[in-house]
Amino acid sequence: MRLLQRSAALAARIAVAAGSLATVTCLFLIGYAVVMRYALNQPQPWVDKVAGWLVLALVMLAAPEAQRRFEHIGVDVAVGRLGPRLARAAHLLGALSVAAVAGVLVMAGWEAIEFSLMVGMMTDIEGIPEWWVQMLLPLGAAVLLLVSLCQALLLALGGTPEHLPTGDEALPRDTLARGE
Amino acid sequence: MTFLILLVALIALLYLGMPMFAALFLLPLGVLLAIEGGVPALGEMVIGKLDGYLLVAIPLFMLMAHIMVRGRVVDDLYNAAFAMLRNVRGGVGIATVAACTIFAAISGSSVATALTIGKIAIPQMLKYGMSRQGAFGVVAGGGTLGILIPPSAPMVLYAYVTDTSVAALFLAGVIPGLLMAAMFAAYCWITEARAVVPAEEPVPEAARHAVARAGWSLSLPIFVLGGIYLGVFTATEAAATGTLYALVIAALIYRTLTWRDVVDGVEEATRTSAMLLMIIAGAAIYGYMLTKLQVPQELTQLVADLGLGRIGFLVAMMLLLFVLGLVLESFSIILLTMPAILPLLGALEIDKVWYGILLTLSLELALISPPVALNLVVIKAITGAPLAEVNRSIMPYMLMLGLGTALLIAFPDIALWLPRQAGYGG
Repeated sequence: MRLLQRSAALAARIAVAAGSLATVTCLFLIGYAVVMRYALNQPQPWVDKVAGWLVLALVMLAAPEAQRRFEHIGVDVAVGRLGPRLARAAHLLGALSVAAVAGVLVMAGWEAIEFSLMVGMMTDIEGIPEWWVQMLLPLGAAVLLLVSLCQALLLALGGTPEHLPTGDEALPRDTLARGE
Repeated sequence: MTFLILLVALIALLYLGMPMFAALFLLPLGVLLAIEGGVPALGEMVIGKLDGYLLVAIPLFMLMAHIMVRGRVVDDLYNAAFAMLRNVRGGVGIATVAACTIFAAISGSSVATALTIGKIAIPQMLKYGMSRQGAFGVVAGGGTLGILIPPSAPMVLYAYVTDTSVAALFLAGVIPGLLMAAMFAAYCWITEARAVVPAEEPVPEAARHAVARAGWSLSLPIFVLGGIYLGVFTATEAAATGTLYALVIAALIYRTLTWRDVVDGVEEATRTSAMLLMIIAGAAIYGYMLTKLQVPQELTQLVADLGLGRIGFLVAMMLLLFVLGLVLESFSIILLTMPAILPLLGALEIDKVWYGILLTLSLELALISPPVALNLVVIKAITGAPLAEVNRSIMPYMLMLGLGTALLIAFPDIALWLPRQAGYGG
């Protein structure tokens, strides 16, 4: 069980590192496009397209780490007010629901790739097939599935996954964001 | 009726412990499996929703805020405002409003604004004679400016969902944001007459330095908003150049940013963006379900039958958004309501930019409305005060936000004038 937990954590950490790299790449690509347009009068329309793909990358690759930390947005306050047994059941249901969604996304992503390969779909940028971009969906979802299944298993067996909220946190877990 | 049943079912799933994005996926998936036997091209639908150039602005604005906070560039804001306003009647409270306003224009986060400014400002306000309720209220209320004064992640999302210009929305938030800040400051001036620093007390050395250095914090929102107003940048470009500018300020001018800060900031901004944007992925299938169930048509018919008209509809929506805001956070509310409401805006000839600002004001009001109000939780955590006392402190600010919303419904130009000047129509 410990090996499974460590493997899931490692996969999530590698994925979030790649997602962070996507964020940094976005930053410099757009900065580059601004400089090229204003300083050299050479617009770079491909940057818009690539930046969109990078958003897909950062979301799908960072979502597993957010799940590992139990950070995905939900009604935390309600769960925090439950007793320990009910809170545990709520976290188990939460992990199982994420696993179900991740499973659906793996299958849906794979179907999209199969279709793209079958008809030979290409992106707007020459030489880049559509499935390269689509691959991000099942890849990120597979890591998310691994992490959430691991959490669900641990909770079902009476263990305590890493970062499981205790319900007595003084502050919301990420205070510099969550869109609030 | 269908819409209400779906909303209640979704909220029930959330209260059972499901994350928002999972509930948004599974409920529609179940409904669509029952009525259609499945969802065609689900993978393409999700990828299509997430692969959006405009969405890049969300992680980049978050990164900008992380750099400014982790580089401690914003630490001078309160001290500078305090040094300048200390001898004005209610000045320590007004300084808090001023610091919240500027911090809001950097962080785009209400909770972060209340937390960062609250930690520094509350002890100062109490020290110089402000009432406890006055001090708690002004931080919680001032914090809400975070999502109204641009940049604002909920506004970027609203623009994405409704196909509205994010630049127009940002500019439309400026005057209402300043108007609310002016109301909050006036309230401090009226009710906290005793909260004045004695004239003979010298300005602390740290505050003098802060005045000289706060210009850098102030220059960032001017750079970002000025660039958008003058048409130099799109919102996404403003996010990227603003982040690079913040890096320059924190790393080269303040020299307070470490490599570890940057790495942690990038990861946190990425993770938080993933949390928010996964909800968009879920909303793709939710929107598809609403269309299949003909919910927008049902709502349009309902509004026509009730004879609500434009103002009646807006008032009803503000009430609904406020109630939803008591149980859900901003992103979820936008994604849950907009697919059903958008066709109604067109039918009632309601400007999408105007509605976006009204929606943001409702979300602000929800942020400080008990029982589940994040800003109040923050004040409680900072001060250790009982939640009941913190809850009482916020009532005047709730009333002012309600008044601001009413003014904006009556006079749309408060929001629409500035974007029109910049050539965004509206």
